[in-house]
Amino acid sequence: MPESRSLAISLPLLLVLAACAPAGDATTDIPEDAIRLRDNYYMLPIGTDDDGCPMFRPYAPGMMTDQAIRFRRADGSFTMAREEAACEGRS
Amino acid sequence: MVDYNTPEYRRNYGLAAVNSITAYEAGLSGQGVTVAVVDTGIDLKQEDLDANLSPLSIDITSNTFEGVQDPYGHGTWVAGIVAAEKNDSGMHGVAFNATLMAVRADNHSDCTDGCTFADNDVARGINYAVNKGARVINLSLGSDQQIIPGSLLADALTNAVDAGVVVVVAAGNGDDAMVGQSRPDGFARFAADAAVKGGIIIAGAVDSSNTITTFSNKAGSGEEQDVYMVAPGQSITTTDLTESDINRGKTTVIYGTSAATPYIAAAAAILLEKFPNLTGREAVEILLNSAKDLGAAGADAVYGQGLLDIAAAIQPSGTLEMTSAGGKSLALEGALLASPAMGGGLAQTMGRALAFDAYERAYNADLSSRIEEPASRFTLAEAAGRMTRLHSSLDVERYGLRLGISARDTGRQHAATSLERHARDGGLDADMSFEASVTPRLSVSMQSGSTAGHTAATGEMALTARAVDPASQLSTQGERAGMTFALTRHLDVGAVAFTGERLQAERMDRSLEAPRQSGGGVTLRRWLGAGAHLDIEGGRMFETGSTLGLTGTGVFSGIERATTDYLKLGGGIAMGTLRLDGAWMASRTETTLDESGVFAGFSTLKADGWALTLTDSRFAAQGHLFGLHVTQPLAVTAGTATLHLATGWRDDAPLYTRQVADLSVAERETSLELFHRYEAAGGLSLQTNFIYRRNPDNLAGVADEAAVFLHLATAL
Repeated sequence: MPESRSLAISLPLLLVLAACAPAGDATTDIPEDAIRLRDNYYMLPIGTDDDGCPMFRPYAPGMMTDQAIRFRRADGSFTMAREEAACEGRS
Repeated sequence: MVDYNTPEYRRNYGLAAVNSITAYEAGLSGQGVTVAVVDTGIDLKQEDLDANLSPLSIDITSNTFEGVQDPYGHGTWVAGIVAAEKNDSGMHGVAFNATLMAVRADNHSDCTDGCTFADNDVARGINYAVNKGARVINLSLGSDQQIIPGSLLADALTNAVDAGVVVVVAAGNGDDAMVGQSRPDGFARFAADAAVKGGIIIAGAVDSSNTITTFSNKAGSGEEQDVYMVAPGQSITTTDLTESDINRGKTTVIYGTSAATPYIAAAAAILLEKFPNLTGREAVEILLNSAKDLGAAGADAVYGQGLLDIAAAIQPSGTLEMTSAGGKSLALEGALLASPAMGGGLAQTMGRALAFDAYERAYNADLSSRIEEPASRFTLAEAAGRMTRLHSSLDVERYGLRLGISARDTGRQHAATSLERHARDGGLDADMSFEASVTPRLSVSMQSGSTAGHTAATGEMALTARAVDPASQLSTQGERAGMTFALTRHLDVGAVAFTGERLQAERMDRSLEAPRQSGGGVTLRRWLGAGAHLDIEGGRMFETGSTLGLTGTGVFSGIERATTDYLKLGGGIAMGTLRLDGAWMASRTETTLDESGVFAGFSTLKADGWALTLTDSRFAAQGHLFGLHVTQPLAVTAGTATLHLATGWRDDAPLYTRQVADLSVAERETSLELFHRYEAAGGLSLQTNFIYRRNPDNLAGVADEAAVFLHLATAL
């Protein structure tokens, strides 16, 4: 009987914990070249545009992000505006 | 016509790339269709969006309208591509009159450099949009992680598809971070899941030259390819946050499959505006199937189904169909050849009709454009062509025998169809006539060939015979035989028999069996002395495939046969050197249909025609004969056709009504002919006919005709 009592307690607990987990298969493997901006939010380099300007996309393990391209300013911050990007000297 | 090629339109190059202007010119702009943008909300102060913003917009976290204010800008950019207003300011969206339901679903954490979204919040946003009546959901979001079947997000997407909502998701930017494959990201790949496949479109991005962008995830070689298409996604001008630090006024420029997704979502809104009865899956299928092929022929691993093409999406898919009066499906093809006796009556009164494509989408059938001019039109140009011919005749007065043969080179080889059985192998078109007095009281005659050709053969006035003879009016080629017997000194009795067919029926369908006429009648002539006489003729004409000359194919098929009873009254009187001859004819036609076309019935067709001829022989001694001929050829004066046509929708089904088209002629033909014949010594004769026709073949709006014919003959 003690075994079944502990099962009765632990099973709902497991279900609650499972429900709180992210719906997707969250991975904790962060690509090496990811640029960390804040907790669980990164910019991933995805190559360059036709003019050789580096492009980035947001990456948040276990979360969804928008699908707009970012470029990088000279001060290292990110921008959506291609004309604000500092493209030279970056790869 | 409104000019949609405005600076505002040109500022968003993608509008032209997806052929949106065709939709605008058709009056489409997404009006009445709600597109939910599940994203970071929307800028409530953006004047390019506020008029289209739905009051049902919501922030999922706070469950308020006010909370929908966009903290980052992404939702505002996406919304602008969908439905920024057309107000001569900034840019306008693809579906500039669609209703925008902004559903903010980010997790309200730090949105510097971008927001993040929990799957469950996105799922709640999707569910909200579906429950509040959105017909399209735009998800310019993504994740490398695949959606787990049975999760809240998977269920929300499945429910949306099952509810008939079109869902468009971004393909993702850059290869899968973990796997490195060039195919849609983990989130987008759910579109190929069996539960939703065909209800969700994956949007990849092309640049201004319609080439896949370096950042866009491609279609891949898996099942995602089937539901993947591309739209402009590079350097796209759209609405910006009004207080953005990168704001350059009202607009900004963005890159990404985030920008391509709303093009397709807005296209779905336009499609559903025009065809509200489409299911979501049907709309998705149409958008995918109508895409412009890019890259390798057919679907491929880069562009999937190809580039969004709104103009093609609103065009019919497959053959348009109508329903026959007998209830069978009928391809919208074929033509109606109007009858000279009806002129343009049917074309002028043909009402609106709808035809349907493979998706039951309704299109204007424009049946009027399928009505061609009367097939047996007796144009003067044609008559001239037929008259320019070599003609010989033999008169043997002793036996009352006259034989005429008239021929011309048609200049072309004819296909051997029943329509052209009169055409000889050598391209020679021949007409023959024969008259003979068998006994002093019995004479016979026979004609074979074209109606116009006999004018040359007989040397009579060109229009006389046609005016009051239904057979010669309805046929361009045929045979006619007659017999007259002098019963007493004052009474002739006779009989006529005729057959005919319409050579020009070849114009609409060479495989068509030529509508044919045949019939006969009885004639009586009472001689009154001094060349005066009264005539009466009664008869019946049978038609196969036409009714008083009206015939058709395809949707206009089904005219099985017709019977026309006619009565002709005439007479002639001599007054010195003047002679007046006249005839009037009236007819009644009953039509039999087989209901294989849209014709559901014909009323009794009543028609009449008349002709008067005045000749003057006062200068006969000098060899001159003058004549004047006036006629109004056979024309329908009363009669209708009933057509079985879809004219609208009721309870999600085509509404069929019976439309009655008036077949009576509005403006009748009136023709005038002046005639002069000069007979010189030695058997040489020169005949001149001047003809003027007003409303030729009873067709209003057709140019009047005038012509002069010369006829030179010599006796051997």
